[in-house]
Amino acid sequence: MKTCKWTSKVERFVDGESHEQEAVEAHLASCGPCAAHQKSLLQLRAALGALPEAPVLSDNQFPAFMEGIQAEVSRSRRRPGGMWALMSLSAAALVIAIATFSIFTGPGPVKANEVESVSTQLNDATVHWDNSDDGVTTIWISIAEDDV
Amino acid sequence: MFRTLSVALFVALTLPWSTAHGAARSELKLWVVEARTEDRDTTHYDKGLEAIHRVLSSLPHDTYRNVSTGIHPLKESGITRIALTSNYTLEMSAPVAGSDGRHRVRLRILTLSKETPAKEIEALSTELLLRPDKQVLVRGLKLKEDRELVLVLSLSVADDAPAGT
Repeated sequence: MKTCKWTSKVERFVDGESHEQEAVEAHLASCGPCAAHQKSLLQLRAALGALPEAPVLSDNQFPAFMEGIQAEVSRSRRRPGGMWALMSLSAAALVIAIATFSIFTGPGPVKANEVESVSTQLNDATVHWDNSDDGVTTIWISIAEDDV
Repeated sequence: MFRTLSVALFVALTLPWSTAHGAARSELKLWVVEARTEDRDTTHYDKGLEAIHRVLSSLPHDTYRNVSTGIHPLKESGITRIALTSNYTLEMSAPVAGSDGRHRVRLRILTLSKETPAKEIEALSTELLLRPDKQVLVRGLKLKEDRELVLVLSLSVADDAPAGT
C-alpha cells in the first residue's frame, strides 16, 4: 500500500481535528491513496457505531448485581442434592422391584415334615412312617424277632 | 435428608440378606422315654414329659418314664452324637436349610449287634425334611422286659446367632 505524507493530516480531518480542512479536501481530490485511506477510516467508524453499547452499572445498582451473583453461586452448590434424590429414587424403585419379585417367586407355605428314606439293619425288622393331622411324624420300627 | 434416606434404604436392602446368610444355630430338642405297660387305670407320665403328653397318648402303653430330656446344640458341620441309653446312640447330621422352610437331616440310631456285640449297627437310618418345631416320634426300639424306647424330637433353628456358635 502506497503511503503519503498527508496521511496523518487525513486522519485528523476524519476525526474532525484538522485546522486545514480546505487544503486536505483539495489533496483528497487529487491523491488516490489518501482518498482510499479516508474511505477505510469512515467504514471502520461506521462499523464501530453499529455495535451495541455495553451496559454501565451505576454505583447504586452494584449491590443488587452482587446479590444476584451470590444467589446463583448458592444455587449451583445445592445441585449435588439432585444426585442424592436420584439415588434415593433409584433405591426406592429397587426395593419395590425386589418386593414384587419376592411376592411372586418367594417360598410357598411351609410344608410338613417328610421322611425321604428309612432303613434298618435289624434282622426281620421293617420301618414305617406316617404324618398325623397335627403335624407329628411317627417312625415305627417293627421287629418280628428280637435282634437287640 | 436425601443422604439419610439413601443410607436407610441401603441398610434396609442389605440387612435381610446378611441375616439370611449369617450363621444359623440349630438345636435338637430331645425327649428320651421308656414306655411300658403295667395295666394301670390311668396313664402315668413322669415329670418333664408334659410337653409331649399328646404325642405319647397315641401309643398303647400306660407308663412313661423320663430317661432324659434336653436341648442339644447341633454341630454346624459333621455329625452330632448323643448317647440315649447304654445300648442306643443317636447321630444327627448338620441341618441343611431348604427353600421351602424345611431342613434336611440324616438321623441314625445305632445299637450293638446281637451277633457281634462290639459292632454298631443301624437300628434306624432315615433322611428327613424337618419343619422347625414340629415333632417326630420314633418308636419300636426294644428294651429289656418288653419295654420300648420312645424318642420325641424336634429341630429348632435360630438365624440370629453370632458366627462360630
